[in-house]
Amino acid sequence: MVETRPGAAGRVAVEAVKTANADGTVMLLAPLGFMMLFPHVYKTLRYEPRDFTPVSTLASTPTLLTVGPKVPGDVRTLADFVAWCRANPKLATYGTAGAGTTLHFLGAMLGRTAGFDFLHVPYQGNGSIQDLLKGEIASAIMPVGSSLGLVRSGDLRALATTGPHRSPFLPAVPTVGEAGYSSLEDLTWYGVFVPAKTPANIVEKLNAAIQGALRTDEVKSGMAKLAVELDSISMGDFARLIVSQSERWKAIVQATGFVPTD
Amino acid sequence: MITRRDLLTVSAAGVALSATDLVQRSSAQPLARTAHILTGFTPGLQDALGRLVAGQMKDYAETSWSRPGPVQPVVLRSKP
Repeated sequence: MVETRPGAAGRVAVEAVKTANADGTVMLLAPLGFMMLFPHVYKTLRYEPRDFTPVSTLASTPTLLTVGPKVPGDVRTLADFVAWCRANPKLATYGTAGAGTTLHFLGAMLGRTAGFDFLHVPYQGNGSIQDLLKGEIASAIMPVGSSLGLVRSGDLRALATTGPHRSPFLPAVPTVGEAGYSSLEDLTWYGVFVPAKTPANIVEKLNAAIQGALRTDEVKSGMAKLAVELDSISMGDFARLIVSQSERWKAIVQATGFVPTD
Repeated sequence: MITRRDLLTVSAAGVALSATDLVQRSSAQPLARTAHILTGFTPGLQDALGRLVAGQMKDYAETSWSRPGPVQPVVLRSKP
């Protein structure tokens, strides 16, 4: 049973899995930010990454920087946009899916790296795309899938993706690395976690089942429809990825001077 | 018009089929535990991803769709 348990920026679901039976029947499907970013942005977090065993990554997606009608039509590249933001500091805004997310910090890093004030406007869900279309904000930093159709229709302009390579869904859009901002490279990974006390043989069985599912044509084509890339790495690499990304984001959060509110 | 003879003939045929195991006996469904995949956001990419992958986890569980509802459930039943 796939259950959505929204609340507290997703922490409700994480806490529910932490205290669930460790028998392989309860698992968390979440972006890695829950494990490698949240510990650095919340004052009181009622879980730690060590409360979970990472089972498998499923997919990843780069982040996309888009601009809307508030930005003049001749702004077609990230370099153009940076120049426009510097020249129009009161208009340089970006929307994301919330404060304290990787999307928020990517925008903050862009402003710091390029040397302009980039005002963050947090929304819930895809709300930033709506306001971007209306011209309320200049840009949005969101997962590729959130605005793919609007980019293809020409309603929004895609300036850069944050992946290490161009997104197969937007092959004409350069990466941040190509645009000269390689420090902004980032992928949002989605993975499966179980309570830490889950026996190893059950974790292995679950991992094998997931790997089997990821090899099917149904999952491959389904992920393409969801605009995410199938991305599976070994359990060991998955655990190491969380550790390395945690260190990276800890430094980023501190550098941006983010002040947790709860 | 259905006669008494017709009814007796059909009944006798039913008994005969049951006796020869040509008709599968009914049996209780094995009790199954339900596996839960939790996501922390409102319906969207993550629960869709969960349903997509869960639907192909044949080695881990038998999958069947339950009735649609607010949580869009997919039931994963562990093999007995």
